[in-house]
Amino acid sequence: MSTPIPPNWDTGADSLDRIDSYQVVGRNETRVDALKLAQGRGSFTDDIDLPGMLHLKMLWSPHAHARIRSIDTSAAEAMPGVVMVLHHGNVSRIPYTTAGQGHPEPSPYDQFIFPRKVRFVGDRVACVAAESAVQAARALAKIRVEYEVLEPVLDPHDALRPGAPVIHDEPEAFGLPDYDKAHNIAAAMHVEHGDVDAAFAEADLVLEREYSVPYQHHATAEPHIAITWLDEDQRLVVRVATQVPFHSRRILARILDFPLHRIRVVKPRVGGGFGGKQEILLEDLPALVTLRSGRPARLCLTRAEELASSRTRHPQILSWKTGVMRDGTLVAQELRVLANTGAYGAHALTVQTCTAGKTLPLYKARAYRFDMKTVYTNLPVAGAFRGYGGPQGFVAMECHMDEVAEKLGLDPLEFRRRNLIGPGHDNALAQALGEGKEGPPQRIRSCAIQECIDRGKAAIGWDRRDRLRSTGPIRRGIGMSCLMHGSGIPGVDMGSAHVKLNEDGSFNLHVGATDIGTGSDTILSQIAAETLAVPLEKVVIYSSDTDHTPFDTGAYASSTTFVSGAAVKKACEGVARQLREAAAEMWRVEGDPCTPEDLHLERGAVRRPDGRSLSYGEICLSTFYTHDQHQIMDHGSHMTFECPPPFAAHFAEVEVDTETGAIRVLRYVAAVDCGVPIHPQSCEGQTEGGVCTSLGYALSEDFIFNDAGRLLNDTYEDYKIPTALDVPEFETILVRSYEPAGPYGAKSVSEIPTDGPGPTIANAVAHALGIRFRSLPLTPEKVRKAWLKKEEARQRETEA
Amino acid sequence: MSRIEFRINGHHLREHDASPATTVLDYLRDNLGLMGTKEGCAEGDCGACTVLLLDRRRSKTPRWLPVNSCLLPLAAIHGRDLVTIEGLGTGGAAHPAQQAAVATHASQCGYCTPGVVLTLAAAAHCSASEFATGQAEMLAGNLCRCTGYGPIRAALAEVAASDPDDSLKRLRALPELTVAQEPLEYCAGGVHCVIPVTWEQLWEAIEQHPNHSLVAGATDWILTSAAPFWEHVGGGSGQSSSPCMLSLERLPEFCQVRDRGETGWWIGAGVRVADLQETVGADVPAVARLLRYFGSAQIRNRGTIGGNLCTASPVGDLAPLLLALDAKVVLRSRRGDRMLLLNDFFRGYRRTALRPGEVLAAIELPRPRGDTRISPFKVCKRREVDIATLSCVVAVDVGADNVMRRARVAFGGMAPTPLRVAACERELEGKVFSASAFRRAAEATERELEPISDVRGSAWYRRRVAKNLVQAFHAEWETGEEPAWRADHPGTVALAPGAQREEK
Repeated sequence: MSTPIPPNWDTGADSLDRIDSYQVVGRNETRVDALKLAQGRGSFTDDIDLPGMLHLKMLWSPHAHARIRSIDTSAAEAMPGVVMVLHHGNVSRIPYTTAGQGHPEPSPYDQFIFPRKVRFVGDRVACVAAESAVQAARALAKIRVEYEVLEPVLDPHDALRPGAPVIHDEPEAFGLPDYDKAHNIAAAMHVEHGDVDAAFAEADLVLEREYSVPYQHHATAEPHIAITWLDEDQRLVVRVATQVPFHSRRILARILDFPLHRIRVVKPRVGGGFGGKQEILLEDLPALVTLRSGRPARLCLTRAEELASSRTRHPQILSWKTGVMRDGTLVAQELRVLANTGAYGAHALTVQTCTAGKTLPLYKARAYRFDMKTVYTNLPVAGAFRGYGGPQGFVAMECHMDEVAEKLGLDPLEFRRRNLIGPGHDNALAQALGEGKEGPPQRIRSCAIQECIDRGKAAIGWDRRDRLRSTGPIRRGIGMSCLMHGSGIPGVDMGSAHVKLNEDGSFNLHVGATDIGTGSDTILSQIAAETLAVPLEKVVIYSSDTDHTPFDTGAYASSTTFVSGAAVKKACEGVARQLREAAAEMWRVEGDPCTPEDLHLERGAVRRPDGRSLSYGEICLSTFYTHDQHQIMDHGSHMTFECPPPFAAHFAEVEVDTETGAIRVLRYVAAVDCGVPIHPQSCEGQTEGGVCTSLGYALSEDFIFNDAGRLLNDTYEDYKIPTALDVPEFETILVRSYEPAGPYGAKSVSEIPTDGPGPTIANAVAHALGIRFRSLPLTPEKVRKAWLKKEEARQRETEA
Repeated sequence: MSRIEFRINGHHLREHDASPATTVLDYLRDNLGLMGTKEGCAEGDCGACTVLLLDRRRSKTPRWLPVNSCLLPLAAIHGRDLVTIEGLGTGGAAHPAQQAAVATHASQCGYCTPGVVLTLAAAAHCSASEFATGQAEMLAGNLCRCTGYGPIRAALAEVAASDPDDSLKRLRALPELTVAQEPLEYCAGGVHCVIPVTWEQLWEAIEQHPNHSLVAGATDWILTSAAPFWEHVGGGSGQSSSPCMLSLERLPEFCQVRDRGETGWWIGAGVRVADLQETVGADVPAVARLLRYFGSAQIRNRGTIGGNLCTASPVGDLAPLLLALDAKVVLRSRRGDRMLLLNDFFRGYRRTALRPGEVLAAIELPRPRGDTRISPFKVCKRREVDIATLSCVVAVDVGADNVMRRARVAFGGMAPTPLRVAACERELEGKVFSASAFRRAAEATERELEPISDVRGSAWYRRRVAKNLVQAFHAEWETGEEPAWRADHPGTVALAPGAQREEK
């Protein structure tokens, strides 16, 4: 596949001075939804009650791996209030992926509405629709299922064992060329750049270490939920907590075999997504019930169902190998990943390619090798999760960089500086690691990683590092990591916007982009207001409704500001041009002609160089009712082959209680280069929130299974995400840069913060204890055990 | 007359049809259409469903306390005042807590926001001294996955103790509903509810409703025992006698703490954990230190001491503390009272010495002597709102000769019940307060206890840490001075600076 080489733009450093002239962009405007949320008026999916609504409850598989021999639903159907019971015997069997990606999805088509063989504890078996949730729940107990229990695969290594049970033995499942279901391989990839073996042979030091990272759950405040009904035209309305309304419509039309034009997907307020709501996880079932019964239907997961049966971050085992010269110059890097996608292969390829794509190119080397296998197991299903492979990869790479620096006797920070990618450099692996196909080449333009390090280093007090307490039961340490992410999926993600003018000089902005709490409604409004030279309140945004807004791929891949924002800017530039033309026409009719090119927009009016002006309201009234009658409106779509990475340097100071192994993070500094921050407070919020999520990943979050593959900690009582009092003193430093490919110089900011805490905390703990942990989470028990082992070794040494 | 009455956002409502076991969360959303209150976990762990319940019991000015509406049975708000997010602003104007949330950018997705804002609004009415002594901990009960909490903490700092002239002030001045002082008998949805106001009424209700459930704060009950009540909705369960919630909250003295001077305290079993913090905790720092890590503010505002002991959880934060302080329990029945050492109250995994028809009425807690050294320890995966992997309370009386007279070492999470470890205590009593005595005691502890492995920790870890905690106690008190516990300490183990012990 041929892709255009991006022009060799300059780094954009000169363009920073433009920022100060912005009126709306770069300012902490009050978020468009802030007040209604604080007043509890934000209308989430579940905040409606429809007359005659049916309530759905799920029967989940109690077995990790079993064939369903028979299902008898007659007793359940006879229960009071039960309207129907859905299962594999009475729904269509069309293979698909729940991954919620663009068409064609790079994830294997290995799912059906209901499987005939269940593949994890929590897989779909049947669904009861009843007049009330209590009645539906009671009927579940009456469904008789006969299972042929099969040997489960509960470890990714076992999945590859010769003769291992084949998890996807159904003939219909298919995927990309490397898909190999007969060997439980959901995705695989091998990439080499440069002469890897020669580079390793030349290196003064070759170090290889293995790291492992656990399951993590999104733990969104709002669980997955969908409510469906038929409108007065018998069209199916799907009100769903989703990040991808347009993908949802496309996939529903296909698996329900129902015309796409008769489906409307509406995204109301969403209580957090983080990738978990990129999945088309449950809306198919209420939709089916509505289509068959004609009645509204609701399915909402409980917290335990959410934890056990929705989606998770892919656990991985990563082997990192580095070849380095004595002076600290990297020459070769090799990453091998064994990832566990659980029972289904949603995002099995692309999360893992991002594990390499976001990490490896950060440090320049002559040669790179990446080898990856994502395997099926009979465990909960992995999928998209904020960071998308980055948090896994950076744990390995950034711990490894510290280990290499230590071997070489170099300051870990200076060692990194020597090898970091910079402005004007090419991303060596961009083409090899595309989204299921060859990717477009990438050249770095804006890059302030060195300044991120400088400022983060000063803020944490890196120079105190050698003087921290290293005796007694409480030990302190400081660690850091360098990070890089992306902005959208180049050549794939597309966003669009529509803008029209109203008589009071306000504008309706319709976008397909999906605000799931990210603040994109505010940010896109700011971009519109800036382009149209009006205050923020003159932009009325409406988003994410497949009937009423233009297309957008959705809220994922750190794309909304960068991709959808550029679409908004294009649409508004078109409207700005029309405003100038209309004003010129009005002045011409008045006998005072001018050329549109001489006019400019300022404070809600089109102005002439001599200061005379026509307000947008006057122009709108004229074009609606008086002269040259038309609606001033335009639309814009944006797709780009660019994917400018944001950069960051994270620093943490920790205290470790060696008696119990408890780690306390005292201070965290995140210095981030996200280009021009459209809304600085939002960028800080994204950073702090992303860090907080990954503090949980580093310290307390994990899935614990029994021998039969059943999740044991499926409640918030035992699955611990951080509380307000667990988070440390926090400082976000927004390091300014200007990205020429982004709207008003912006790059992404949402995912990169999740990449940092894993390695940063692990490095700080290593500094505090002199113990290198290569697996997360760093639970008190794990730390305590390692400390004891170290003390015992020391004691043996002393005795000897 | 059979109805439940309450005020929600100042509106006096009378309910005839809803089951008394319905959660207030469901009632607000399904019956009243108040959609601002959100369900996040339905188990009291996330705080998205936080509402404010007016407490007229303890202080002169009634106080609004944040509670989890998912753990609150409808019957519990009979005669009470409640405020939801919809009742916070005045005439469409935003409440200062809401304004602060907007200004600090405290919402991203906004799903946890109503609960957060109500917690902030309650904090606005704390006194400055209350806030300074730990009301910031109120936020531990409101989980947020988006913001990282910084803006929420900033909003809290902005509104705390600001004493705004708001709807909360206006609504708390309304006179108490008269039904609050009257007994209630209510039946709806096939479920009975009786709220007696005299012990005699309680004994009658117990006899009348053999299928009864004794309820106080209900925070645990609604999760573990309310299921049969749900099953009964619509007559589906086929049980012979319909279930009855028997609420103990209005019994005389049941919710009071009596300070009896030198003797100690008489603590009604219905006393909430938050009340214990403010009373006994004010006198005994070790009690305050442990209770600060007991659940969340929302839980402490509802959970009672009696409920906590009667669930007989093997872990329970309170039990080890009360065991170490030689607390006694008063068990009351129609025939009278009997008293047991708490040590004799726990009879096995989730079993107690309570006989049929008997109620845990009170706890007698002796006042620690001037020479008693007490330290509580709680070890958990997460600092806040977590069930302990293990907890430990050590209390020793140390004479002027530095010899330990009485030693109590109690653990939770190490056996089927919370328990004292006699072998450990024996190694201490009569010995000089010294590192070697505690080392031997620690070794005895490790030999004696046989904990299990579960999701919270392995048996290996529990034993190792249990041993360390006994020694940690010595390190804390080595100088004989009360340890200066850091306010922000992890809540696991506090160690005196520089203290070092040998590892075996």
